[in-house]
This record gives sequence, C-alpha cells and structure tokens, in this order.
Amino acid sequence: MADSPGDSTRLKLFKSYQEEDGISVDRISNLPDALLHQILSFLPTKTVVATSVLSKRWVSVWTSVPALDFQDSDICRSCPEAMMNFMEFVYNTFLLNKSGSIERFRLHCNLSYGLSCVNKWICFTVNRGMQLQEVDIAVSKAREDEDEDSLLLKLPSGFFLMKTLKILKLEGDIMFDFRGPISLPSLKILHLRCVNYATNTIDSLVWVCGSPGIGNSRT
Amino acid sequence: MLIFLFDRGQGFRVRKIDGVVDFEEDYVAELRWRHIRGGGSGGGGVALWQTIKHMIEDGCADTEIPLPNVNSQTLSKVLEYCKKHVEAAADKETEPEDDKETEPEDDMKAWDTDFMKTVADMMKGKSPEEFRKTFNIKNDYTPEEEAEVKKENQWAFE
Repeated sequence: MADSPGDSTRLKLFKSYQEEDGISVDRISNLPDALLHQILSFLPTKTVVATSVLSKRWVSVWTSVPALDFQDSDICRSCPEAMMNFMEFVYNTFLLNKSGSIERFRLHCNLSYGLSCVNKWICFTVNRGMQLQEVDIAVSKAREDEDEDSLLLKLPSGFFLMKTLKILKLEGDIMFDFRGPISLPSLKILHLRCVNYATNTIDSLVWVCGSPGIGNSRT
Repeated sequence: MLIFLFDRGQGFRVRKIDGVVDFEEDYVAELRWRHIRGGGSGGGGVALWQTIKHMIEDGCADTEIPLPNVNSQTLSKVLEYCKKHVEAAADKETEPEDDKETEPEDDMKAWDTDFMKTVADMMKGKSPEEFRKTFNIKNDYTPEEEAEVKKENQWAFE
C-alpha cells in the first residue's frame, strides 16, 4: 500500500510532523477523545478494537467510536471456525460499544451466518443509530448456485425510516420488499448494485429516489 | 469567529477576536516567512491543527492558543482552517434567513471530514506494532498487562 509514490511522499511528510528537534513525539495520543473517536470512525472496527493494546491511553478509546465497520473474509464461507470468530466479533462489538449513537455502519459479509442473524445485526444498528448518516451493506449468498428468493436478505421494517440517513449503499443479495412506510428526508446519495426487487415495489423505489435532497442515485 | 496569528518570539500564537472580521493575510504571510528564516523546527502537522480546531470549537480558546515550534506546512494548514471558518461564519451572518443557511456548515463538515480521513488513512492496515512506530506511541503496558488486554479483546486479534 505504501509503495505508490504519492503514499511514500505523504509518509515522509507525516514523519517530519512527528518530530521535534529530531526527537520523536507522540502527538496522536494527546488528541482529545472526541477527536480520536471521529478519526477512528473511518477505520474497520477490527483495527479500531486493536488500538486497545497500543498503550494505557488507548485501552477504552475504541468503545466510544460512533461507527461500526464489519467485513468478513472469504475464508468465513468455508471454515466454521473463522465463521464463528466473525460472529463473535460482531456480537462482542455490539455489546461493548457504548457510544451514544452510531453514525456510520458498514457491513460486507456473506449470508452463511443465517438471514435472521444478519438481520439482527442490522436491526440493532438501526435501533441504536439515532444519528445514522451513512449505511453501506453488501451481502452475498453463502453458495453461488443457490437461486431461491427465500435466501435473499430482507431489510428490517424500520430501515426506511431513518431520518438522518444521508448516504445509503446497498449491494448484492438483498430483496427489496418494502410495503411499509418510507421516510428518508435527509437522503442525498443512493447506490443500489445488483439488488433484487419484489414485484410492486418499484413504485416505492421511485419514491425513495424522489426524496427531497437526493442528488446522486445509481441503480 | 476571527483568528489572528502573531509572533511572540518563541513561536506563533492564535488569537480569537469576536465581532471583527479582519484577516490580515499579508501580515501572516510575512510572519511565516520570518519564522522559516529564523529556522523554525518541525511542527505538529495534522495532530496540532486538529488540537487547535478542537480547542476553538470547545470554546477553550477564548484568548490565545500557543503554537510552539510551528513549521510552514503546519501553519498553512492552520491558516487554511481559520480562513474556512471565517468565511463560513461571514456567510452565516449575511444570509441568516436564507434556506442556504446550512450550506456553509455542511461545507465545513465535509472539509473537516476530509482531514480526519487523511489521518485515518495513515492508520489503515497497520498492526499495533506498526501503529506505535508510525505515531511514536510508547507502550506503557507491562507484558502481563498487554497480554491481559489482548485476552480481553481476543476476538479482534484473530
């Protein structure tokens, strides 16, 4: 990653920031918590939790980061142990994260954990995310050859009632079957890739795309 | 909000003066030049300006924020930030009733977000050890304590 010329220049520049009279200085640990939470909210949750071992200053910083970003690895499809580890990771984060409200949520995983399980994760976030601004969900079926609609992920009913949601990105084996109310007044960006639509829901989708603030929609 | 920079011999200071909109760019540029010529040592970069930004927003910077050993790159970042905020505040004052009232605010947020992302990018894909090295973080855990923390969050290290 650091091999491209742009990155190495930036790295050099950054290193010069980290020195004072030739002595290395730890500047990041001295930043206020609120700022660290914001910075860490752009990182995968696994990286965020791993910051707890850096030093005593960092032991519980991660628990207040207002963002959740989960991505499983391909090995989770075939290896039960890796699968269990990922599930445990997600549940533990939900239990231990004590930030008042989640602002960003990203979930990229396969569906071998079970539809109800993945649905619960989304539900939990929707319920906790009074300030949710960005949601990015990409899921794929556990096995490619499965062709049944019943194996697609259905989004929970409260999903389309997120008042603060600005960016919504959905991709993969998700079934749009929203017959309930829809209200996404803050939505500005909507990206839909390879998702499935149930019959009669295309009207609802048009309605979503016609939300007042929407400026960028791709399907 | 107005932020003003001046030299105190040991470095720069940022001063906030309310109610006056006057951004003396030439003066600041001259100070910057003088400082470089005076052989200023490396400054705090992103971390430093983030701290300043936080102090200003929290209202802890009612009068002055000392900026010891600031370098030209840092200073230009601070200036850029100050200028953005001055512009945003001025826009707000002139069109308070307008629907576009929230736009400078959104613009500011996007701008701030961009900077935080830059810092986050520097952390991406790093092991704790690499992380410590990049940011000069001193590990003050005893080996036992570190093992304990790792054990508690075992699921994140697998």
